[in-house]
Amino acid sequence: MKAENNKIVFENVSKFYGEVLGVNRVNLALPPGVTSLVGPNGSGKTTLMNLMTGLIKPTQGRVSVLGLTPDHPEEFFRHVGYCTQFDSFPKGVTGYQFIYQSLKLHGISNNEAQRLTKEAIERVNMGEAASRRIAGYSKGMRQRIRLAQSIAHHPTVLVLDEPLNGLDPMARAESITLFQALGKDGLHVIISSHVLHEVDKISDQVVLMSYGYVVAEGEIHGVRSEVKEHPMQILVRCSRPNLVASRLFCQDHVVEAKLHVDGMGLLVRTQDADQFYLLLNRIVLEDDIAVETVAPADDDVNSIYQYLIGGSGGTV
Amino acid sequence: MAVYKRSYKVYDGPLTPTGSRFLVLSRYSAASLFESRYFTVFTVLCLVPALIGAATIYFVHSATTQLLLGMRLSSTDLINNVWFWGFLQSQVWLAFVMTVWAVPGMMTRDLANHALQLYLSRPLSRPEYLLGKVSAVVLLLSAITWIPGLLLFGLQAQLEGHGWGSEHLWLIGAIFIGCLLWVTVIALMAMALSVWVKWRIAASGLMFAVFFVLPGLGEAANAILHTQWGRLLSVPYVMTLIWTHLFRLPDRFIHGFNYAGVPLWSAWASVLSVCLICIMLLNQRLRAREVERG
Repeated sequence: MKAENNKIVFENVSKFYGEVLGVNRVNLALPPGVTSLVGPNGSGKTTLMNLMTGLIKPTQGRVSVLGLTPDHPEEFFRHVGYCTQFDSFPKGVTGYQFIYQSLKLHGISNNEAQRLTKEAIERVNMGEAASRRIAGYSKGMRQRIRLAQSIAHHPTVLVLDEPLNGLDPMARAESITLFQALGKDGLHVIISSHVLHEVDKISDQVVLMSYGYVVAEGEIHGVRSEVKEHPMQILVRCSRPNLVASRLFCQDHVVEAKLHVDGMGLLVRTQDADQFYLLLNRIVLEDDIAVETVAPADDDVNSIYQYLIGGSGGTV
Repeated sequence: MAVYKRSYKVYDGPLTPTGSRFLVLSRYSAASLFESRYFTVFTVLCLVPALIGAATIYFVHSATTQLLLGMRLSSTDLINNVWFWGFLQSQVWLAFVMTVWAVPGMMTRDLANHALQLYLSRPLSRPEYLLGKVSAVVLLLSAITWIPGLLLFGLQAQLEGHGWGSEHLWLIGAIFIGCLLWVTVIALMAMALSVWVKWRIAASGLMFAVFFVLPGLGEAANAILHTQWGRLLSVPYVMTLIWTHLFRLPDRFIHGFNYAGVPLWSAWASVLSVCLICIMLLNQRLRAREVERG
């Protein structure tokens, strides 16, 4: 099996809608697992999703999903499930009918479609509401039933545009667990979300987008370490933080060491995290420091987003 | 994760034939129309002229009934090409009302709610999506136009006997082609206008405007430019011109209704142009994504 056959590959892909830029010169190879697309509105996330689901064709370049292209829709769409961001449903249908109909469009026979519909409904915990009309659902229920229709035919690539929007905390937690489980099952789960701290929790890798360009991509910690112009912040809770600070500050790569007001810790900013950790180990052993916590303070999607794209954190 | 540990696998069971997949869309589109009680009642009412027609054919062939009512009618004088044309005139306009009622809602909802993405992220192409919708409309309109027309033809041929059916075989073609042409034109036009404006009420209004206001503009152009070509802007006019030839209506019929003026070929060309414009419009606007400009 070619390596490309297990990846979603964008080769120098550009998409223009007339004069409007969708995405430009995108080169990506997304492996299995949960991948998050992060960027402000209009950055090209949905265009990228539409490209990988075959809804639009690139103006330039090539997109292949597990080695398949939309030119062979039967095979392609068997592997791809798409949950759009839009609250769109055919009029008057129940949750059950909605999923059943989509499975029939996939060409699945009546009995199999019934079985898969029930299975998908169970998976999103919508058993009791499935026979009711979608028009009467809450926003969260609509989101879940959309999720169910996108996973009902057992795709290997699941593309979810803003899947956490409108979900209550319980449903959010359930959805996140489901995404993680699907990612661990070897699926490609591609998520776009504005809720960065939740993206951070579930993503194996992240693609940061801005103005139609891919700003950074890869495993979150890897991306963070590449952002050299912003020294990494590391939180240390320990005894005698002033001693640690003085020892650390002798090093060139440490640009700042800020003591906590309670005198039980410090925040260090360093340009070389690996060197810092080695040094900290030495200090702890030599000076018999009691360490409670050592944790990166800006090694997350939120911080990467702020450093590379700008804007406020939390939600974009 | 090792392959053997995976519990999840792609569906690899049997699939239905790809060629008939669009019928899923037709079935659900038609079913959603009949969820409206008013629409169901209207559809039933559309079949009333066919029942009256069947009763008329039976009446002119039943000597007993005529004797009871004290009347004497000749079936060959009454039931002919003019009678069938008259019957279909009521049906095609009922079909028009049905189209204006059903199609805009069927199309605009999908576009306004971005539901097209839902359909097109399945193994369903844009032409197949359109085919699914068109076939639902065409089937529905056929049920009130050429199908009852042909059934009445069959009834007349059966009751008349004496080779009436074989003598009037051409009438089958006239009924079928005449109605199917009308059904295709109004279905495509309603879809194209709905896709264009994406608003049900506006699309319905535009349909009426195209059929009843545009002919007025055409006549105004005729008066100003001293020509007859402005009539080609009137879909009802060009369709009637085609029907009169298909149904071999007598000359007095044509002159009496002032259907002369533009040649038959131009009427066909006009209808074909309308269909092509509608298809182009559908191709341009029926997309799974929308870009806001400016």
